[in-house]
Amino acid sequence: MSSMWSALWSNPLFGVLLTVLSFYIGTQIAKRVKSPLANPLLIAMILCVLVLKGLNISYEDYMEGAQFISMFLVPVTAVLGLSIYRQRRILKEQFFPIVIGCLAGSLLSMGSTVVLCRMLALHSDILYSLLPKSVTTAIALDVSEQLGGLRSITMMAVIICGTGGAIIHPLIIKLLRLKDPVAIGVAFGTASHAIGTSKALEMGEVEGAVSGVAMGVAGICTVIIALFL
Amino acid sequence: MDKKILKQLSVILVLCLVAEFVVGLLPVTFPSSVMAILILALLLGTKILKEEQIKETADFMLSNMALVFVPLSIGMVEDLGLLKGQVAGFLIVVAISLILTFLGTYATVRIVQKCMKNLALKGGEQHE
Repeated sequence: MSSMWSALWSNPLFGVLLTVLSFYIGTQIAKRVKSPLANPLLIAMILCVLVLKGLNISYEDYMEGAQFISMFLVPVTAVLGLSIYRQRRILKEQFFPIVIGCLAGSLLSMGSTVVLCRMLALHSDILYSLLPKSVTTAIALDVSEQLGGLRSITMMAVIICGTGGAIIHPLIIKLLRLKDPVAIGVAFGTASHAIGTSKALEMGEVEGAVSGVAMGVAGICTVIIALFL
Repeated sequence: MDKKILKQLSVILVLCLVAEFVVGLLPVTFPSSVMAILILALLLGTKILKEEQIKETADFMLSNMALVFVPLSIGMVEDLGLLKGQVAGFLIVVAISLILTFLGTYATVRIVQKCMKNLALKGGEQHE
């Protein structure tokens, strides 16, 4: 009997179902609980981990199905081109603030990482893994590999920057009463990549679109800066 | 309607593969996702591709973007052991750098906006 169940859990469709369903529950909870902590991704992650541990399902079995969802990382990122196109007017008007903001932000992200890692005497593996932490996963993994970092540490830092940013940035915005939607969008996209962008989309269309643009531009800036390291 | 989604999904997937191909031709490592963003924006901007040709599927992807990060986030939980002994340092670096980046970027954008406004006032209407 128990082997019948475990055959069910290791069916790739189970991994897909678990991911989609927990994300759906996450979005429903996030809609009702208006707290920055109630982030769909964070809720989905906790639900999935609880189910996997509870039913004693290995990560490998889960990924058997869930990898089909991960596979859509590039297409889902690609359609940000549409939100850039929709905001072409604002991009044209604010070309220099956006591009210079992204460049400064990327330099600041990488520079502060170097300084802080040195100050705390962290291992150089960690430093290299952390350098691309503010850009979208697909780019960050490439940059990390190119510099000699560890993929899973980079992924952790990227996810923390994304989810952490989606939680912390709205608090900073409220606390410091930041108002400019373009500057908010650029800051979201540069500091917290696609996860930040999905939060920025919730805050407003301009914020979301600019964040999507900034995420792409900051990604390019980071790739270019990394070429000099 | 059902055929529409199939067509739109195909367009988006072709776009990704084209981006993958173009990236392979470059002499430097350049992420295919960013290339795909650039190509899509270019195609839409030059009217080669119309918004209607991807609209519904793209909007679904945009509004549920974070879904694709769920499996990755679980991989991260699995690998927490790699950070043994350096967790505190790791978190401090990420948190401080994250906040600095956000504030620094916001401030830079505001400064550039103000500079450009001043320039526009001085130089007439040369600047958009």
